[in-house]
Amino acid sequence: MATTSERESEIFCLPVLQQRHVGLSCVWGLGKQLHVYQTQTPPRIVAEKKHITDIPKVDNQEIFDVQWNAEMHDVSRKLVNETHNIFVMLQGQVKSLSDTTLYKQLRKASKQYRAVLKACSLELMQIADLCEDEAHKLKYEQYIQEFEMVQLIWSLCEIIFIDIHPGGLILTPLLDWLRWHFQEGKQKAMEVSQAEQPCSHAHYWESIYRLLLQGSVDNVRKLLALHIHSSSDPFTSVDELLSKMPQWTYQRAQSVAEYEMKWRHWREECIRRYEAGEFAAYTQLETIVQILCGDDAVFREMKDHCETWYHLLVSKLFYQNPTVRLTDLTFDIKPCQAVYSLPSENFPELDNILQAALEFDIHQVIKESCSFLSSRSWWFVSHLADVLHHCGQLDPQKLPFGSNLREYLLLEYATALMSHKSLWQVGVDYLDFCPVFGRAYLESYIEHIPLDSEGKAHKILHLCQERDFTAQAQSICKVMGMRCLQQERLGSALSWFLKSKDAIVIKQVTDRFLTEYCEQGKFSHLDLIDHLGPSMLITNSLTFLGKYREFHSLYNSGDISAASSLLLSLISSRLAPKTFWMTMLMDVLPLLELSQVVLDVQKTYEVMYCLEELQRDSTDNYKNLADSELDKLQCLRKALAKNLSRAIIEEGSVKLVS
Amino acid sequence: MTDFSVKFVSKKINKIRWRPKADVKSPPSTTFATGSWDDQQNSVCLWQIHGRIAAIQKDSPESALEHEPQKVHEKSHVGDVLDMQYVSRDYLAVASSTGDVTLMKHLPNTEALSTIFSWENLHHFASGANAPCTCLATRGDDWIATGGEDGQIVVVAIGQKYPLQTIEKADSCTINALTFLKQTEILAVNSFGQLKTFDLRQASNKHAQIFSVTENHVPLLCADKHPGQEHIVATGGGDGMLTIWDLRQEKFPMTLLEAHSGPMWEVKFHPHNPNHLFTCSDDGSLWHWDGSAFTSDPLPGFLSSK
Repeated sequence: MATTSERESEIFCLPVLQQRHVGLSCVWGLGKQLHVYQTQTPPRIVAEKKHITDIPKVDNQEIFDVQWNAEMHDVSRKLVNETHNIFVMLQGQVKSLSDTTLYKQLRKASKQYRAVLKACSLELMQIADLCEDEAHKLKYEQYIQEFEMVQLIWSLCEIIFIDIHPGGLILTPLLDWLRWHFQEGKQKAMEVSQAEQPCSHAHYWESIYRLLLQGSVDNVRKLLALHIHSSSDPFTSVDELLSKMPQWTYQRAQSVAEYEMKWRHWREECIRRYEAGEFAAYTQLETIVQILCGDDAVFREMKDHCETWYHLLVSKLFYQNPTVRLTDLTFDIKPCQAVYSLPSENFPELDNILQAALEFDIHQVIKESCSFLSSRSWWFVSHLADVLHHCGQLDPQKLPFGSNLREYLLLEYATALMSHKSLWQVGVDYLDFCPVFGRAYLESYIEHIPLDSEGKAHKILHLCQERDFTAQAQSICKVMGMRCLQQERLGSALSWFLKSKDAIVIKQVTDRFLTEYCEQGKFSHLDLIDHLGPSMLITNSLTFLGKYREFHSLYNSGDISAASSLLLSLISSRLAPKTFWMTMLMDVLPLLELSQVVLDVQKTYEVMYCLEELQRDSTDNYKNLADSELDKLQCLRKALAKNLSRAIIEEGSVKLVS
Repeated sequence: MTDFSVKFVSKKINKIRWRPKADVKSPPSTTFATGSWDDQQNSVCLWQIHGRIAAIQKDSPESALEHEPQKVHEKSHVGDVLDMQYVSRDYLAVASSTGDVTLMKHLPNTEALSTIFSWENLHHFASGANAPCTCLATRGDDWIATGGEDGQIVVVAIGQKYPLQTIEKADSCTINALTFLKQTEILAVNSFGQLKTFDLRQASNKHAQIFSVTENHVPLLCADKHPGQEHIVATGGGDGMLTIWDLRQEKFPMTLLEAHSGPMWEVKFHPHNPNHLFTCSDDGSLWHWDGSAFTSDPLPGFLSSK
């Protein structure tokens, strides 16, 4: 696709301090966003000749956030949201409906898109009217003009590519198209008909010509009837001709050949009357009848009332060859264009697009539209291509980089949406319908959406779960958890890490809990730890934490035997991190000092074994034990020895019941 | 299938609230407020649908829903709107992701809002950064209780600059919704799937009771209490499950109903007809639950009807 090379390059001016030997580098942001910053990269020539130490450091570095096509006006956002709805419904229908019903839905969808465009452009006009700032007003006018152009092109494409009636004439919808988009004739006619003396109104004849060129024969007759001399012969003759003009309607079920014959007869009548000089008294009436006869010269005179070559084309064909087929339109394009020396309006590109459409060259239409209209938004080409693709009009061949044209355009549109702060949710839905690359794009985008708050994170997680993005879901949970950890919110961090089910990060949190306990002597976040439930078993560290807390609650409630057996099982199972062994062993001390013997021989030996293991451990933790710690260990040894002796005696003795 | 009409607006709306009626006999309210989120410039907007009510009253043949809401006022707001509640007919409290709570008033004789007062930095993390204020609950027309991502509950009174009461370390996780059960008792649900009640008369930080939904710690996102019986509470979770609790019972919920396929964001009892419950969720549906079939038992379960 050559569109990338045809697009204009955009230039951004950044206020960067110029320094020697300092260049610019950049990194992609989300979608259409670049982060630009200065680096110490020296030019190669300098590096070769001088020492690297000579390169100065970059002070006061700034990062520039460059975004393009990122702004969207309120009304454009409404367009995006509403058409998103239509798009998603259409894709659903594509999957479920058969060809014929689908075709009806495609036509309906095309009309709905146009209706939304119309509504948005009306709203823009309202806003522009109320706007007082000159610069803004200019911008609105620009937007409105763009909307009008898009509507013009879309409606023409609908007539030619989508809403095809094999048994019908192409000119009927084309005339409707003209009447819809060129309203000046109708407006002038309304002005004239409300004036006191219509026939002497400056625009009287002009409005008649305009309406006639658009094929609104009834309105022409009404206007002619307002003329003072409307009862005179020439006028009644014209009126008769106009009333006898054959109309093509679908309901009458006439064939094209029949209609053509009728039309030829009628035209001959017009020519006959004209040559008989019936209208010689009024030059304007002569012009009217000349138009009806399809005289070439008169159409050249009418070029100002037609304003554009495509209007002239349709008008001329209506009066010269009303049964023309779509494929034959191309022959008349060049002569009509030649009548107008300057390109219409200021947009030769618009002319090219319309010409390509009339020549039935879809790909040219899309190519031109891409380069002309996409500088602001890919909305138009992507939605049009989607409808055309489902109509079967677009070539489904794969382009060089792997996807077909429709998907390429949708991806561009979705990228623009994903870069928007708020519209990323809409972009996700579009990526869902890109079969080749959509999933890969979505996977990489989802990871980069900024997680501003928990609510947003929940929504993104739900998106991931719907689409089975387990890796991304896990990474989001971990990011949220780490953020909580950095803000010292251990409880929230734990709940996020539990969701991610990653043992390593959970261990980090539990280690923090345990260090807190060591420092403060009590647990924080009891509401969490006491209610872990089966999630306690996810990792060893969490199990230990839960059980250790259980030990404390048992001890505090007075259930010494249960508490001590729990503690000992914890010690012997070696679940605890080594850093914590000291604390646990110290917990054993009060148990040893109770009047009754709580630890029996076996258990005492186990505790002693643990103590030995701790002291022999030559890791850094225990090389430099403080004096107080050593003292404590001494106490413990003494207590253990005493307990051992008591336990042996107790176990060895037999109780006498007297 | 009920009628509904759709209007597209340009911002993403997080919360939407009807303005309360002046008194019981007034006609239904025609004004509602919306708060937006996730945008560079968020706003609180006021909308009106006059035509609709007039159409209903005239019994006109056209569908009552054909009249679109019109935006009558837009007020910019700093940060995402995370919760909004009408304290009384004229006062609207708005909770922001910057940790502030703003009190807005409907100006008389015009359709506009103005900020009366703003309580700033009600919620902040231990490191000092601002914490989003995630939920609001109102008691009568003078007290507002707020909960945030810092796990604190702060109670403020209208007219007073400093908070009345702060329950620090109320929760280890983010508090997602609050409701007043009685005059001095508050219920909070959090991201760990727990329901806690707090007694404001006590000075301590401890919760009076704590309940867990299920064992896999799915976050609870919304809560509402039964209008007549204050020990019955409904909550919605991040997995779309609706749970009904009887707070007089120990630890576990009365009824668990699998409802939506996405997180449930709001649950509300009908104020006059408590057999009816409404839930809405991220999957894009609004469900109307009708429990009136079970009239013999107090509140054992609900049937759903879409």
